[in-house]
Amino acid sequence: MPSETVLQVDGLKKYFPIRKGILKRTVGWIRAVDDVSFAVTEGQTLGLVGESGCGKTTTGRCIVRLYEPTAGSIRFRLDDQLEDIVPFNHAEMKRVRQKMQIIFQDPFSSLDPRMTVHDIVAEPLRINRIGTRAQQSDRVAELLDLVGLNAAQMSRYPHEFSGGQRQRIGIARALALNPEVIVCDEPVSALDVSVQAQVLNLLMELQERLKLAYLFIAHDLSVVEYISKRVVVMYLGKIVEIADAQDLYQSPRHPYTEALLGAIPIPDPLAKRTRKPLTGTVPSAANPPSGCNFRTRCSYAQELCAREDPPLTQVGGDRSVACHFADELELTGFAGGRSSLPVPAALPNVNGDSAREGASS
Amino acid sequence: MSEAERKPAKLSKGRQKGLSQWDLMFIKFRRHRLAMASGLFLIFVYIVILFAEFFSPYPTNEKFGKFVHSPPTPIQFWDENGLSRPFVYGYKQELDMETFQRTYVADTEQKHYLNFFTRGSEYSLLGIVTSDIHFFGVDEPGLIFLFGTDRFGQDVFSRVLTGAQVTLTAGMLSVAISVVLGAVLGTLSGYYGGVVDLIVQRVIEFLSSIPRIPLWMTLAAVMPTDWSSVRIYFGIITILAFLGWMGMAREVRGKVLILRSMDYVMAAKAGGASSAYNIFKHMLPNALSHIIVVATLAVPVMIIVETSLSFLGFGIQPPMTSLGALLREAQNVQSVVNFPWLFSPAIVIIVTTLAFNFLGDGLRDAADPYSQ
Repeated sequence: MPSETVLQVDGLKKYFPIRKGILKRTVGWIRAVDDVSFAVTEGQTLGLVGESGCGKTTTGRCIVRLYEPTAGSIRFRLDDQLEDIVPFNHAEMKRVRQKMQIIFQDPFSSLDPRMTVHDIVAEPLRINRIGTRAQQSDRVAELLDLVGLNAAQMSRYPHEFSGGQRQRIGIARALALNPEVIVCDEPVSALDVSVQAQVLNLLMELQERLKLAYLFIAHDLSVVEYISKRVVVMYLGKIVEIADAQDLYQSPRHPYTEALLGAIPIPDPLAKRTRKPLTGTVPSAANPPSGCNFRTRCSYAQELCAREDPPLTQVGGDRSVACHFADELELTGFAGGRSSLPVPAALPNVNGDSAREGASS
Repeated sequence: MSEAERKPAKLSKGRQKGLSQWDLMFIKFRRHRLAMASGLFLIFVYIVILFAEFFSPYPTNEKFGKFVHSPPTPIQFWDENGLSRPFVYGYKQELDMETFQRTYVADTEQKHYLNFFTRGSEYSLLGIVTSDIHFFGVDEPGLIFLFGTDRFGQDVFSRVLTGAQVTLTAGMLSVAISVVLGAVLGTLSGYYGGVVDLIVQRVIEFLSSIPRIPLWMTLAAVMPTDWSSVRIYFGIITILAFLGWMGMAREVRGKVLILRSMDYVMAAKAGGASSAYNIFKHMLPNALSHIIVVATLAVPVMIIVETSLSFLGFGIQPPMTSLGALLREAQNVQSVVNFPWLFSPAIVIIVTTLAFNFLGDGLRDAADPYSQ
């Protein structure tokens, strides 16, 4: 149903030039994102996973136009119609930015150390000249309350808060303009596991209350599984598999997805499992291998893989895989099933109030 | 933990006030004893040289013909009756018949008491206030030369104060100009990158590759000789500044390159902020502590350069004087051996440059208040 789609990305490409010499001539391109397409549905979470350097952060930053895409369209729902925002100028983008915000990975570099919490959370309001100073303060108090922080602490500085609390401040800032879509760029990767669950639960709670749609970027498949309805798996700038979280988890169709699932730790020291750990590192995006990007690390690779790049093709129902042998391979999913995922299973569901961690100062 | 948080210890008007980064820096700076002492010392020095005419007992160019190359006058606290208020003895000049050197012997018959806030020659302070009150002086007809006299019989102490006034303010002002230049060019270069960065960086490399002293000398030499000494003073400052901004620009560029990719700058961009907003609200405030440190460490360098230029005769011209110009008096072996007090300007230079370096050191440690 297209009317429920808030964000539709088609053929997104982002190439970074490699410059050399005194004159900075372009000698090559890093294909950080190479032809990526997906859709985000209203009020739902689309997970985006992959190793470091696979282009997931670049994808997120292209979508909020922190980077200019090299090619492709990013259509965003404005007045019930999907409009391509790539050609938008600074003034036109302001309309979009109010509806689409971003949460960053590092809770330390994402907050200006010289600003008070009040000024940080009020910044989007100030930039867009929304409300008087008093109204802005009221809104900040409301937002801090919403993310489970004490509004009385708004005159404090970021260094007085713990990592989890700082991430909540970042979430409050992203919520300030009442967005419909939030790009969550690894929002819990820098946090302790116990705090991860609290922040994830907060995000899910907020999604329910505010009808938010998330593009949830992470390298940790267990975290993504927990929060997402659909999952996109990326490898070296390309999508290798898109599927509903449940299906992807139980029966992966791409060897890379299988390897990622095999890397999820099981919180049971006696559990036995057969793993096929990935060897080697991600090839350079400036000089990708011929044919299938993944073939250099794939244990099922055959001669065909070096010759032809497998296209992303639909394989039954609502899932697509980019593998020549998607139909032939017998791949193993995550052994314990969804209920034994380490992050949510290891911790009780924590809601709003008790999710507050102690002050670090 | 969460219970304690809900009942904050200090609640004034329902809000808790936190310590800002400046507060943290000041707390950390205060722990650096040497830097703290150097800072206070420099404040003292700058107050003294700002009011140099008030603190010096004699006008800079007053010549005491009978007291050429007189050694420093010792201040006496004891007389035949024991402890006394401070005084100086009168002078008698004697000629050594073997070496034909003039020597000065104290005339214990004459006692001249030291007075504070005495009336002396008239002067104008910073060109605004005219007064004849001096911080100290001795009863007429006594004379006091704390740092001795030079070959014209001029009081070296008074000349060091006015010389330091010129040298130390020139150092400060030229750094101020180069900070502005360096911050603007460094920010442009770092933030916009591309062609701007390319041009600014190549200009910096070119300017830095020219040997400094000859270039300064050439620039100083092209200043018209009929300029007044005040104009020459500002000319020197400009020359120092125009060749001193490169290091500053590089430092600022580096800092901006780091700050540009900080997530909070990205967040502001995602919220619709303009480049100007990011530069003035996020980057400059965060680069400021760094700029202050670099500027503090640049002042002693400028002081040394001005001193060298004036020492070589290309800098400040008479009747104005600077510490470097004063050191020209001590150029030859004869004065080194016979009149060591002519080196007092060098001591002032050494002490102030050291103080600036210690201060900069302390500021650098304080600029990153989160490190241990």
